[in-house]
Amino acid sequence: MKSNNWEEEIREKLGSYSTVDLDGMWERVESAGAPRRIAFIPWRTAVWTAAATTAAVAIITLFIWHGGDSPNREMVQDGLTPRYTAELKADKDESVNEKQTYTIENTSSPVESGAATREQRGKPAVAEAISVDVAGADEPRLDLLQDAAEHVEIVEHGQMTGRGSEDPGYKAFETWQEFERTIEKTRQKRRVTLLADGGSAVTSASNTAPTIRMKSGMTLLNSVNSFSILNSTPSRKSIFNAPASNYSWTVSARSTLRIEMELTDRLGLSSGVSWTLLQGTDDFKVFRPTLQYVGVPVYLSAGLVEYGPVEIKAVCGPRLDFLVKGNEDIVTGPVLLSAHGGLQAVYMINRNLGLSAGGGVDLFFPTSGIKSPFASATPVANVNFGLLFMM
Amino acid sequence: MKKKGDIQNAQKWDSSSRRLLYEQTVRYAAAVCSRYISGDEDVKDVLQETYVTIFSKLDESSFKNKDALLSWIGRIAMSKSIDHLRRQKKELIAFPGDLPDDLPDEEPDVSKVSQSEILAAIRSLPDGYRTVLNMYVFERMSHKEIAKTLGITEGTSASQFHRAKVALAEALKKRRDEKQ
Repeated sequence: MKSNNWEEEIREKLGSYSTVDLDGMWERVESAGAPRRIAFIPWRTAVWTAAATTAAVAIITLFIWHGGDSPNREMVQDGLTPRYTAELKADKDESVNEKQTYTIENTSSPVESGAATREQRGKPAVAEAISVDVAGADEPRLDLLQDAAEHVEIVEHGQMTGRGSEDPGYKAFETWQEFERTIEKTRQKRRVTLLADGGSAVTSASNTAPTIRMKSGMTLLNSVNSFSILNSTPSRKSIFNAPASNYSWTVSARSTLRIEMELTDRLGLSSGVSWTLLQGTDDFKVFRPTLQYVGVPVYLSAGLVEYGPVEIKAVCGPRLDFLVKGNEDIVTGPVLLSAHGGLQAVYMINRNLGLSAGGGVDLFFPTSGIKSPFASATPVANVNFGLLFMM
Repeated sequence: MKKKGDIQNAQKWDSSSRRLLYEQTVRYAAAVCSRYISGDEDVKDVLQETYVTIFSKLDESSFKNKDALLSWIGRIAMSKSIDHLRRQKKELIAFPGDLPDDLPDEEPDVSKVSQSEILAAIRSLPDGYRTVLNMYVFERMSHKEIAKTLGITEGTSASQFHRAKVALAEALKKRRDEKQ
């Protein structure tokens, strides 16, 4: 058609025709940021990614907690069974009246030596390991020990009297049956409180057979540390405050897997999964509790400087951590809310994948409903390593 | 190793592949911008914005072939050019008083004029005429699409195009007359 002829002709003639001088144009484009990594990710994608990540972490965490025995229980059993078996085997070759020692071990204990225990007098002491000496028992009552260990809680150290029998609440069991009854009774309360005692009182008790004596510390089977089973229960607050106030936390290590969305040329928003190893120590550098958390960080990052493929970034943002391994009763609850700030060096392996390393500080918040060992926002330094996927 | 001239090879869009993409498409993008915007410096500014946008959206875009890529780049260049005109507070829809309402259906005779003369004639048109003419002829947009893009009615778009066509024919005729 005629009307299309001039249109087609003009399109042909001017298709790529321009009188503009394009010299230096690439440099202008380049300086405007075009060659830099500029990615635009719709908010909807980022939100869904973060939501999916959070859900995955929550499900995994719930599975770990409720999918079977708790980590603490598993540790108790792991610690108990081999030791029990080994010692029972050894005992069989000896006199029936020899003491049999059953040990329930739960992670580590601050009462790791007699000396340490004595030095801790008057200070909060924590005991997670108990052992029971049975003189003349006909058969091992492993189930009772497991029950006892399952309900172990932590209390503040009682007054040292030097004689356990005079210590209020002290109770020595003459028979398994008595021990069992006590366990059954206290089981209704879902806890058996073991009070660490460091006096010499048990010495006399242990000389009386048959006697069940509960000891603290795996290395103290023949020393003076003892426990009494009490029916009283300390308040939750004291349980958490006492140990926490006694620990100092060392630099924690964290690895992260994050996906980052670029907000502007320099700002980015990232989320993903983190694994944190939190370590502490008591006043005597004896007890070193170790906690492992899986967390969901939401970090805002700002690019500071670039050296080739390496970019230095300032990172900050909140993180929600879920305890996956460690004894929550010792130091903290299962969920921690913290804010992180730090510097990271990111080495871009390719356009999308980077390795990050850096350091920073975590501030843990004692939030209502979220247990925290920290009475106030307490900074804990940490080192970070991770993989960063740039969308 | 990238083959020269093969845009499809530049799928990872690293620095070198971006450069390759730029080199192969910049003349086309510049041509689009030049038809909408009169001043060369303004064209360069818009061209810069165009490529920043192109590079920022490359990763979320895919193209079946080079034509699809060029079409996409052309649309971005057009969009940036219109944005530029709006920022300059240009009146996109012009109704000059020097043309009668009852215009003849005159078509531009582009057969005996050079590229530069045609371009100069287009660039001499009022912004509103030029914009609608370019969108209809070069971007092959319908009046419905033009109306939606510019926020006008289809009738206005058709009217503007008709006026632009007559004005272009007049401008080209004038240039031919001047040469003779």
